[in-house]
Amino acid sequence: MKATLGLLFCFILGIGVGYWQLLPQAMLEGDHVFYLLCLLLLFVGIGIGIDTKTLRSMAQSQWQAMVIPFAVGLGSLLGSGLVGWILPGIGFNDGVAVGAGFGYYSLSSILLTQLRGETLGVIALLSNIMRELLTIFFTPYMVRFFGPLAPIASGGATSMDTTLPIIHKYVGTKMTVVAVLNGIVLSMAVPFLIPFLAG
Amino acid sequence: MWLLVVCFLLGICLGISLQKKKAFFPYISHGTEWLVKALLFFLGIGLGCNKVILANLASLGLLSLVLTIGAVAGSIFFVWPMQHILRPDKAGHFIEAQESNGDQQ
Repeated sequence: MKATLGLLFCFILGIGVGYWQLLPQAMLEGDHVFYLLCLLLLFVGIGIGIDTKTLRSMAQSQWQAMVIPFAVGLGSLLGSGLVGWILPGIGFNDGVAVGAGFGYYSLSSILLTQLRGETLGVIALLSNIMRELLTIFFTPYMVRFFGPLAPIASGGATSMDTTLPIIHKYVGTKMTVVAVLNGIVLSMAVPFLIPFLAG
Repeated sequence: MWLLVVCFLLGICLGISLQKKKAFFPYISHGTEWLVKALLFFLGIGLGCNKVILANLASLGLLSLVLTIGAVAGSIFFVWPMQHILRPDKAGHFIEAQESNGDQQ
């Protein structure tokens, strides 16, 4: 939560700087944001590749556990796509692109800002933060009404880090492995899916 | 667009080759954190400069909430049948439902 607040602070600080135009216009023009994004994806990739535990747990997992992130991903894409199709001014493709963030709000908002513009970037940021918050606040009800896999599905990519403690508390140890694996697979899918769906 | 995917794949390969050099771990983690902060700061600047988006922030928030509910509902809907087909044991290993029913009988 502290990390989320830190990121939100940077975002709000940026809004203030932009609104009152505290930085010279020359600093805001050019492709430097795109190069920073390339560097970020390089770092995210290194973080995944260097983590032997992550790669080992994926290699050792049962096929059944691997089906869950695929179902979560597919459901998320179709659910947000359908809602986007119904809502005015969004459309199926943009809805799917926002849903492809799977709760990974930092990366998805930055990617969508670069690929589709600021409006969709802001929607992706807000939507994916809300996904994390919904999971944190509604996990007990999700478990009661939809079973133990529901908060893992809701958490998406965050089920391996920020929402894991609450999932562990209400679902128990038996689903922790599934939650972590779900988070790893979905987090890895975001940098592939968003450029593919929104590019 | 593909440059982003190439950077990501290159990063994974680089990460695998750096697995034994544990001294890199904190630098990668801190580097990622600061890059995300910088990029969100720039996203904020872009938003701050765009008065049209700022004026519609409340409606964008509502739109985001509805999209979130759609994404969450969709993922729960697709996962819900699986807890009846695949049932995890205490260690988190999955047992086919038919097999476990057979054991109970």
